[in-house]
Amino acid sequence: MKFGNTTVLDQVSFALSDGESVAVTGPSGSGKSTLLSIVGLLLQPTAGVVKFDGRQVTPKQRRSRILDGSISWVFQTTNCIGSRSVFDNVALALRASGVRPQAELIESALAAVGLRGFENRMARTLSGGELQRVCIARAAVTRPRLLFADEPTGQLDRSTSEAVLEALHQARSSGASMLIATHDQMVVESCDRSLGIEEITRRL
Amino acid sequence: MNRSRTWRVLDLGREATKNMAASWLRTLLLLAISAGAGAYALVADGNALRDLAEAQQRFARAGGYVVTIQADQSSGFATASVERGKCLALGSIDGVVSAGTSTTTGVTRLARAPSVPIQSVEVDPETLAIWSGRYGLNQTIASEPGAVVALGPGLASDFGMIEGDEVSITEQRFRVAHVLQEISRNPRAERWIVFVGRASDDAQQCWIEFEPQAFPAGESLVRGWFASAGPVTVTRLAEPAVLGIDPAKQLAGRPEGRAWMAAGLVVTGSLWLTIWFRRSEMALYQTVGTSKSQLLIMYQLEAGLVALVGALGAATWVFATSLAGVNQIDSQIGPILLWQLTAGAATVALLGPLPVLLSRDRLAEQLKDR
Repeated sequence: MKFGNTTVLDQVSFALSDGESVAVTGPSGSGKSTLLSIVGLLLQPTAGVVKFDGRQVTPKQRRSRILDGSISWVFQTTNCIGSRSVFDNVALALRASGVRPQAELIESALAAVGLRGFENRMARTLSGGELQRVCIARAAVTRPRLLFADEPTGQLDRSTSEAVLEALHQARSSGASMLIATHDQMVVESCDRSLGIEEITRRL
Repeated sequence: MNRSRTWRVLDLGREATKNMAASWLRTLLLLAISAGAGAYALVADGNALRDLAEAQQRFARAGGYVVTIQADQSSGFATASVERGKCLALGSIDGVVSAGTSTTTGVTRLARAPSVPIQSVEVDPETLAIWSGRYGLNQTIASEPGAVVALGPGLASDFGMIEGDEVSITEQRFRVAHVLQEISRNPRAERWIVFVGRASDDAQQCWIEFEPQAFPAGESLVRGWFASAGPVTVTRLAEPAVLGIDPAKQLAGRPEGRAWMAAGLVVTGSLWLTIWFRRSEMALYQTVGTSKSQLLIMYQLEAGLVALVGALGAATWVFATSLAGVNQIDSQIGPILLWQLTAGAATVALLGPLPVLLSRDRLAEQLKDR
């Protein structure tokens, strides 16, 4: 992957199995987020292909892949609409997918991330860790087959990170695969395996 | 999971209103800006239109919408006259205030001053109505029984005659039915004797006064009205340059007529500013599968609501303050003001959400925008 004259990733190749959780590690600026963005169809690679179920996919198919429940994201920055309730923030993913936001579906997603009873709270009144868990609930409520998480604990303290990590693994209890970019050793240890950017490159 | 069609317009409308209600302070601010800008545009143009209406009345009183028709003397036609019947028939056409003929009949003399030559003219009552600039005068004179004359004010003053006097003209007695008080449209009648209702079928001049809005079309059509009898000369009684007023040009060129544009751009700019602070929200919607076109519709519905409620607020405020006497907005200019509001609101609804199209495609980065 090139940005102008800078090559960030070169000849990277790896596969992710059904239900597998993989941590992508590496120093800052090594291209972890770029790799997630490419695999998660947020970025078009300057060379190479991404395959889903053996078929090539591109960012042009991003929306249809979101809407058919193939992929979902959790980002480092906690993105919620602060002026809306927790329920509305989670329901957003369902509404966008054309699914009626039933209360039990949303309550169950929130319960899975430890936020039972938070439905009517305004998002702006939540702490950073709680907000991140709302984002995880929103990403998981559509039951995606593949969940991307870009440093989801990057801005959180140790105990909050633990809660968020548990929420992430709970959220994919339906069998979702997960690719997670992280610096956090605790996150790495919680995954089935880890891939260092240099390690990936070396495999070429 | 049962997935139906994603984000129908109704759903986007609900989402837009939920966002507006949730961020009520932002919404309130935008509504206040929208209503304020709309009210400013309405009051500015309302006042300009009221001033122009007054200018139009002054223009009409001065004869700005009066033309005279006379046979083209150089045409070589034997009659060199206009048909009285055709001239009077114009009076029953929509957009024509009055139409009547006048014919100069030469010099006549009063029995009380046989040495003073006086110009005499035969006119229709409608002609006097045009000269005076006062509607309804023709009715008064037409209903007078017997032989009557009207006198120019200078003549009446010179000989000490008043309405109701009897005068002897060339051995015939006439009653002075009227002393012309207002002849600003025909100052030459100052010392004329005017025989009312004695105009001949072939007249020298046809006088026509139009309603202001019918003037431009009427002026160009009237030439064809008399064309069968030969070419005619159409003369404006008073040119705008002479009167120093041209209401039609002033109406078309008034800067306040574009106040809707200024108001619309103010509200649009405010919307752009709020959208700038909602970049991460836009990215968030996209990460859950909302397309840019759906986002555009949602923000357009928000902008449309802001514009509509603001416009209604502006109209209500202007109406209420007019009732209270703070503004003097004439109800007859309502359609123009309605156009102002509609055009301004449409500008806001169309241009307000455009920054959505300029939002970045790199969602991960846009999510970090605050």
